Amino acid sequence: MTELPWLPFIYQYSIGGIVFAWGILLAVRKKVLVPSVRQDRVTIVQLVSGFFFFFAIHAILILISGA
Amino acid sequence: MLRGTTIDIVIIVVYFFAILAFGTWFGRYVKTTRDFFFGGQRFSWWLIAFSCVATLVGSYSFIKYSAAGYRYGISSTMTYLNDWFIAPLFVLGWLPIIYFSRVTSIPEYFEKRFDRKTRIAGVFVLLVYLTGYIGINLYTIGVAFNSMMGWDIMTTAVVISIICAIYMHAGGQTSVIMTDLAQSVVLLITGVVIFVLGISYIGGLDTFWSSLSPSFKLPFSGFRTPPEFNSVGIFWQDAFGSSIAFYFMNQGVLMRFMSVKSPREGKKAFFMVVLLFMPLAALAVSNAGWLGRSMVNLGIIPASVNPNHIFVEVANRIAVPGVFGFIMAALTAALMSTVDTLINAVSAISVNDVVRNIAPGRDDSYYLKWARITAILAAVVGVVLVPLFMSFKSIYVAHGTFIAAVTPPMIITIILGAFWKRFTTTAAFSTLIAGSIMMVISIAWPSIISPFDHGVALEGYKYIRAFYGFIVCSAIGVGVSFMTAPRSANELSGLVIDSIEDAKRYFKGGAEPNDREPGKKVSGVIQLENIDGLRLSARAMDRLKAGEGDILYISDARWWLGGIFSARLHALKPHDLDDSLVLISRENASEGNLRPERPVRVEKIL
Repeated sequence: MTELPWLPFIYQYSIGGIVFAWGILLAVRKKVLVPSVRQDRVTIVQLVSGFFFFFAIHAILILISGA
Repeated sequence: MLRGTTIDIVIIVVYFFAILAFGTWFGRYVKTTRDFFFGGQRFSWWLIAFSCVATLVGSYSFIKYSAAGYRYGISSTMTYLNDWFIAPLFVLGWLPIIYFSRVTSIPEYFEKRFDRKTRIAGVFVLLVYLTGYIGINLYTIGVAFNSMMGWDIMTTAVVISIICAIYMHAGGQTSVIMTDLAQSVVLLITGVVIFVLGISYIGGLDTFWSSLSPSFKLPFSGFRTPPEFNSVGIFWQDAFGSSIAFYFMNQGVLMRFMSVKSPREGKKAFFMVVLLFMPLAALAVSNAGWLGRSMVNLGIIPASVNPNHIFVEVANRIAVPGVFGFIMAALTAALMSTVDTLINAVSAISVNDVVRNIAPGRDDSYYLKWARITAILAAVVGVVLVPLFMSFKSIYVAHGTFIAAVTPPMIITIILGAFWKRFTTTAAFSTLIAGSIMMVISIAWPSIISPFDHGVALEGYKYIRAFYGFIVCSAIGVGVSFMTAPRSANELSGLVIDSIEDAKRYFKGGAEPNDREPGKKVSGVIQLENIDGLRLSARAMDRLKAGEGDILYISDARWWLGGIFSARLHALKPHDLDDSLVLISRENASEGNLRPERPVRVEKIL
């Protein structure tokens, strides 16, 4: 079914990562997120952690599939 | 055709009436149109998160994703695990903009951000989208029950729409949220029950896993193949198309997030939904297909089984009578939750964007009456549309064609409108109209999509059409913007990401927002006073890090009520009585369903 198992993963996390990073950078640039404020730093950490949570789930599933 | 036993049918009927009674009961807490549509903007994050699950798991999900799981494997979860990319845009931009600027619908936002004609175009597109969506969902309900219980499609659609309209009529958004809370729990439990029973039936997790091929276990399908399930097309169609449409444009979902007591709670709800409930929902709706494939590979089920019937086949095989009825009830939960959310959304747009404009300045009870009438009308229109969607080749084709043709112009208009202050009114209107025309052209002449197809075969264009739509609509929006003059910063105050602080000031009646230091919650007991607001002791105010004029939220101390008994009031000058006393008026207590003898909690919102 999948000719290159990692290609969809790389494509999704590259394009998706750009949109994701743009969202955070835009919020910082427009001062919606202020990194010097503790609760805003927590929000950034939560967002980035969530990104790597899905990144890890997908990477692990590809690795254990044996494909 | 499979039919349930008598006990299964009894369980489904009992479930129907239980949900009807549950939803109707919460109607007694509805006192204004704000309550009807937005639940009074008082709910806790966990309640909204749970209620979203029942909406996320659409009426078609169990059958559609089980079939996809059976055919393509673990990659059936792709669409449930790709929402996080838009998280920053939603929780940091769109949610605070719409929440603080107090818009009640997307068209209203369009009028404030652009102009009246863009609003009218938005109303038209959204009502087409939502009523069509109701029709598709009612049709799917009919098909599901027809295949499983042998019931007539139209009769089922009519019965379901009547049930939804009755409890919608009674309780609006509060009823929807509370019934969806119950149904979400049923849905998730059912998914786990199917998985546990299925694994046990097969002979254990090792047997299940080793019976599947390596490619079946991959979390993504092929990049371009198979054309009817290619990952690149589904990525664009779902991660950006469906997900943005769902969170940014779907009035029903927006109303959920606008029902929370604050955008901060909305952020928590979103995180909970995407990080926890979406993966669980993916498992819940897909695992019957994975189990089915395993059973076929192990020779338990014949390979000739129809993939569209795999959910019923597996459920019927692993579940004893009664449990099958419970699983059917869960399916019903998904079906009804999607329909009730959509009906409420149509009602909100009809009243706030049409009735209020035709008959402005009327008493709130007048609009509440129209809200209930339009809820019933939406259900009727949905039923009328069922035969139209029955004429499509399949539910999936009807759904995919319909959604792909409608969403990209709206999505681009919303995204550019909220995140790019240079986006002009003329550009927004052009994006909606010319973008929609370009989408229709792509359906009539699919070859126009070929420059954007990533090498996907023609059969897969129904997904990659979304990418085409985003590029074309973005080009229209950006191109026209550079040829026309933008509105001034003053006119856009609070409506774009650049001026969310302005939106907060507007929300607070002109006062400076006070949300950088969240403070701690304080507990107390209500004492009724003849005041218009809320008075706490100076020490309690200090603990909240709140000042006079700040917006405070008072709720019954029982957290599990989720904010049903609560009110949002302005802080008044501190009192010098006991620290535990919370002074509010009898009217405010009554509106928030708060009783003086009950302990309460107070927290700062803004």
